[in-house]
Amino acid sequence: MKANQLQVKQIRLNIGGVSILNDVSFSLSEGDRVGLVGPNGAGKTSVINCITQFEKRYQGEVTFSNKLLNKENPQDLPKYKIIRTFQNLGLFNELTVLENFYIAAHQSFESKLKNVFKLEKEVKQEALTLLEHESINLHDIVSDLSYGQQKIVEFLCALIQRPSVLILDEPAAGLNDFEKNRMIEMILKKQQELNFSLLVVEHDVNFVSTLCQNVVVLQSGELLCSGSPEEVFKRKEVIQAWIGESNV
Amino acid sequence: MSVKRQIISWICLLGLGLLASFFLPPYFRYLLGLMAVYSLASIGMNFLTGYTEQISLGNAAFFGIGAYVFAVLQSLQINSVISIIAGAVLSGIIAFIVGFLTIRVKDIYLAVGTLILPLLLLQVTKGMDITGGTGGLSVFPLVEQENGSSLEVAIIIVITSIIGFVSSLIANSFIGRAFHATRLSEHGAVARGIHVVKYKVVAFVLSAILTSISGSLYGVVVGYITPELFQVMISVNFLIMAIVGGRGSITGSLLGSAFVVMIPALFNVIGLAQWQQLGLGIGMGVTLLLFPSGLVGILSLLVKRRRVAINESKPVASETN
Ligand SMILES: Nc1ncnc2c1ncn2[C@@H]1O[C@H](COP(=O)(O)OP(=O)(O)O)[C@@H](O)[C@H]1O
Ligand SMILES: [Mg+2]
Repeated sequence: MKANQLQVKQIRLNIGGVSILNDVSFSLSEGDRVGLVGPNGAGKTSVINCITQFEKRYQGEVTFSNKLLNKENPQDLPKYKIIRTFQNLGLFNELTVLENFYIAAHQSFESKLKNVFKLEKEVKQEALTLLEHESINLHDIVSDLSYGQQKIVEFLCALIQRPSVLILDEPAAGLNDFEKNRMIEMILKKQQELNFSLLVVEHDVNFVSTLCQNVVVLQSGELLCSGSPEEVFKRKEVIQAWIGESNV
Repeated sequence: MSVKRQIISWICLLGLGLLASFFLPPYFRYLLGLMAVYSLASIGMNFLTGYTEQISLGNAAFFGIGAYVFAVLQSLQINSVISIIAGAVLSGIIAFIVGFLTIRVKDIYLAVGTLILPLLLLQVTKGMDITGGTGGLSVFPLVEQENGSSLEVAIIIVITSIIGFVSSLIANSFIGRAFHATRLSEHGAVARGIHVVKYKVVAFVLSAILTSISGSLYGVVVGYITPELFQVMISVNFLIMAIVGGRGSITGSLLGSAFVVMIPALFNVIGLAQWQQLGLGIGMGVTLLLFPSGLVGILSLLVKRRRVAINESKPVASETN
């Protein structure tokens, strides 16, 4: 098995007698860009919650570089450089963009107690560089930004955490086509620079097709199929699954 | 706030306080001393209620512990600084245990739960000889013959300024940011590797230490202490300071302390002492009506600044999906 490989093995999740995930397995190797797709309520976010240990009630295994993650707490996942974002954003609304970047670097602050002021300078500089092409000011309050801008800030905050595996939950939801394309460009560019593997949950077929080399389709908590986007999105059962909830 | 700005602000505050402690007439000097002393309890309450949104009605316990440990050790001829530290350490340890036990308890349950400790200590101090029973204990002045001399108030101003400055460094550091983060989005904080439980306990302990030091110095300013220090009303006053001043703001904490000292004093001066508590209530209502984010909101009108305290508009809570 390869280093830095994330493996999800036979995940089952039952909550209150309802089966939410049933026997879900897939893996993500270094440099991969995998899309996790499926209709609303298919269990995509639940998969992410299991991987990142926010959800503890699952059976099965989650391993990273062969290390079992099941027993870890969610706040320890950043130590493994497995970093996630949230469908409904996990930003700190009343704080400034810069403060959000500082918080993203929290673990570095905790471990470099002696040099906090130097680290603050470094993070600020890095945040400035990341925001170079954006019309976002470091001192803007996050809740004053547009939704698209907030999505960008959350993505960039995740980069500050130096991901080795980056998991994005619907990074394009609520964005217009222009913003979506910019988001794709940005993700691809950063992935080349920083060389993380990527797991993206997304609804938008175009978005996933452009961004990902591989797609895993989930329906009602079960793996429907997987393969390259061209191949998968042509399949009858996938089209049906999508049409089943047509106007999303 | 940058470190440089914090240093400048605190030096100005210290200078003003020192000047005032030497030029104000005795009664106002006494009020100044009280304000300085309460500001630590106010900051302490703010770390809980404002920064991490844990409501406590039990902080009077740490105020009383600080006051009693100081007074008892003083009667044993132990150095004042050591006595203050002893109270703070004891309070910190108790807070660590209480914080740990109540960490899964939230909101109104936490508020009620935290009431137990001060009520217990109220009974204990009333019943024991070493604490002077219902009559309490006298606290001797730090310097000179009388409590509340200019020099003594000046010393208290110096001590509280140093501790206030350190608190403000903490509030503006990654620790304060972690407090804000746990309040604003718990799952967001966790995803950044912030150990939410740890920081909630840290806030609890920090709050207890500050409140304890405040209690020790309170005895010095007033000259005597009684079991009444453990009353719920004392905790409520700290809560008023934090909320009226400005939740999530050190500046707000200081304004809140001034508010709770000055409003009753004002009623005293104009001969309406019996209406003090009512005045405090009305003052609080009016302030929060005009400035929902607290007195610190007035500053944000004067200086157009990004964020001075927690905004009145709450963010929409989102779940882990
Ligand atoms: N904490 C939970 N408790 C109970 N049911 C849940 C919980 N989280 C998700 N579910 C249910 O699991 C199913 C999958 O949800 P989710 O993973 O959010 O889907 P997706 O992200 O694909 O839209 C839904 O039916 C949802 O109602
Ligand atoms: Mg989802």
